[in-house]
Amino acid sequence: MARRGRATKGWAALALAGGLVLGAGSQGTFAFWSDTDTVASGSFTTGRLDLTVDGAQGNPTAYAATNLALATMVPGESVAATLTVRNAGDAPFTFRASATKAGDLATPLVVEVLAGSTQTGDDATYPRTEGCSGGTPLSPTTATRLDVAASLTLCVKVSLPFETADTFQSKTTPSTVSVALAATQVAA
Amino acid sequence: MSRATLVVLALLLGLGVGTTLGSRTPATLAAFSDSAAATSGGLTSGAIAKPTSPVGSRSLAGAVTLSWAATPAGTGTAGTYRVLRWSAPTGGTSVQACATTAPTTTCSDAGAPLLATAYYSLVATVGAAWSKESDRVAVPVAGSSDTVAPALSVGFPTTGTSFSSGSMSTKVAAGCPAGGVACGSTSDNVATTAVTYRLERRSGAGPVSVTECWNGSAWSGATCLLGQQPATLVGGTAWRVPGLLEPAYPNAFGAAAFTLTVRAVDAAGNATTATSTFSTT
Repeated sequence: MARRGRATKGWAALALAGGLVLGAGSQGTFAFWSDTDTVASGSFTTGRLDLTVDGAQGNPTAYAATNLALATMVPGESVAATLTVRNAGDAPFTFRASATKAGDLATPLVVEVLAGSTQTGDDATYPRTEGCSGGTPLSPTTATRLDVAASLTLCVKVSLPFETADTFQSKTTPSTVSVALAATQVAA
Repeated sequence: MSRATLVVLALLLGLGVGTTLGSRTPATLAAFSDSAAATSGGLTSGAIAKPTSPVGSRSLAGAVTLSWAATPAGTGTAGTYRVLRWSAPTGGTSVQACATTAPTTTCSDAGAPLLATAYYSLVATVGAAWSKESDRVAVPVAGSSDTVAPALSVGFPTTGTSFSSGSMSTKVAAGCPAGGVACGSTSDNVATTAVTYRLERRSGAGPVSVTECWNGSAWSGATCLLGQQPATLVGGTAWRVPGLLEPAYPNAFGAAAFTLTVRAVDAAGNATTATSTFSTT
């Protein structure tokens, strides 16, 4: 056992000595050649998502659909207007539509928004019953895709139902309807 | 199986499941968005007017034929009408005598009592819920019915009257009681029960002429029909077209031609019409 311990110590001493020799040798200073290169990229800009209504931004100021109006409505009458929604941006998107009503007639008025539809009918002759031709109903849960530069007609119909209660006569302070369109970029 | 082996197997299993789920769940991307809104113009509701009372006439067999003027509603007229037969001039009970759909404004009631005066009112309806009821009118029993029509005249402005628009309201104020823009008198062997009017104003000339209708408070572009606008009947003998003078005859309005037509009706349905045409310069 004592003989084995002495052998180990011997190897350790030898390794230490070698390390010292190598360490002393590495203290020298060497000068290497060097070089650097820089690679500059092209420029980066962002595109935009842009949904327009009849060519207007509609945001932050809502587009005024002035032809979607009707005075002295009686039950059974309706008015409709065609809006053109366009993707004027740089990426395809899907959009969803939701309608809100304000004013004294907010309760009885019924609003329908249809895609791929145009206004029909007459709002000049009693009973005034404008409507929408064909189309697909839109809702806050219905996503409709619009590719770049593509456009789609929406028909918005507002009606005072035949069953409207007697208490809604003579509401002369104008009520309004707003259609909000929310677009979200799609990846492909 | 050793503990180390179990750990390795669990790790491999987790990797497999995670990879599978990861391949099915799309990464959440922050996408661009935009929004726009469109707002309508104004939407208002109209009203259904109070109908004028129906006019009834009774045959010798007892059937009562009723007719009435179309009732304005919104920009048009009521869609349906019901005629109620009452047991008394006020209060009492009623039954539906007949019903029509516009544009029909006449109907016949075969159920009227033969030996008693019948009382009728007209209920005009638009939509399912909008309605108004007229005042009641009496139809006497057959054989004793009144066949004499009321007398009726226009007191002011009379036919041919012409004043400057600046003085018209003053002239009318001197010729009619307060609250009237035209006036006159009526009488009947029994009683005049209602007077209705149509007052039209035409201004401009040729293709740009404008005809408007006085509705009791303003000039309106809506078509006016005789029988739709009730005049104020005072004591059964004097009538006036209601309204204020300044809106009826604005001082600075200028030249206009007016046509006033009034109609008086008695309880038996006998009617008389009178007309006056006058102008402002």
